[in-house]
Amino acid sequence: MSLLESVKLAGAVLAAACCSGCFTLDVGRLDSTGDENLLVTNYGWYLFNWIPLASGNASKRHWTPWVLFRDDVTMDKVQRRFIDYARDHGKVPTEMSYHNYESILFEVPGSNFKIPIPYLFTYREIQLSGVLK
Amino acid sequence: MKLRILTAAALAALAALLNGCSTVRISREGVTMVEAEISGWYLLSFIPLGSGDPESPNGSGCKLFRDTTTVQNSLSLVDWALKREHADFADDLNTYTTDEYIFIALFRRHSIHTSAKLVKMAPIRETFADDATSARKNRRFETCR
Repeated sequence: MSLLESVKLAGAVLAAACCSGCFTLDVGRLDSTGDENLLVTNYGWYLFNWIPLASGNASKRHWTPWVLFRDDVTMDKVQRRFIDYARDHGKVPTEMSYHNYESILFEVPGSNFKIPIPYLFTYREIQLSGVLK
Repeated sequence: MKLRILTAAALAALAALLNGCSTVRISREGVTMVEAEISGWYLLSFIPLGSGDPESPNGSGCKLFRDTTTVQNSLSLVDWALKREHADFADDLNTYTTDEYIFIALFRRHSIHTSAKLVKMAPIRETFADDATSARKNRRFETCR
């Protein structure tokens, strides 16, 4: 299998893995205080840790839950959705913190197999958590 | 086949060099948030091969055979962002580490991350109050916009 065919296959696998959506916006509410805890996450895969292959669609209005060859795993896009949600619900965001994860070895989704060549196919995840008051 | 593997490994090594080892990411959407990261490579999990240069973030420079993945160095990157954004202090500081292993424990990539919100104090409004305490109470805190 040539390198180009491998890249195409990896792209197809990644797109299939993203079918359920890689971008999530989840909120829970504390009954005792009325405060809401908002968690916005997005993740994607890259070639050489630079060329975006597939990631969750961070746009507010979108046709598909994923995008190809566009980098939506950025702090700006995740934070934009966080702030928009807070504003739309008339809340003030506080105690915001990021938890970012990056894997430089490609692990086939759903398996424990990792390609032992670093920075070939990489995975990046951004999580932004905060309290809405 | 061997040539393809060597080519892929060479490209991966080039990508590793170009990606750099110390990164500061800033987002100004609504509030100013900063995420600082320093990464390092270790042989047998404890012998440092190279790690990020905390004095030149977002570059491709690394410190060879030195371990710079410390909380102090990560906070120095937050200080760098504070000065760059002309902010007064950092709030909601949160630091954590991540590890990744290659060939079982032969090579380890260790990263330290710090997340913070940058806050800029609003200028003090002039008042006609004689009491200095009242003047201090009029000082407002605003987040960077």
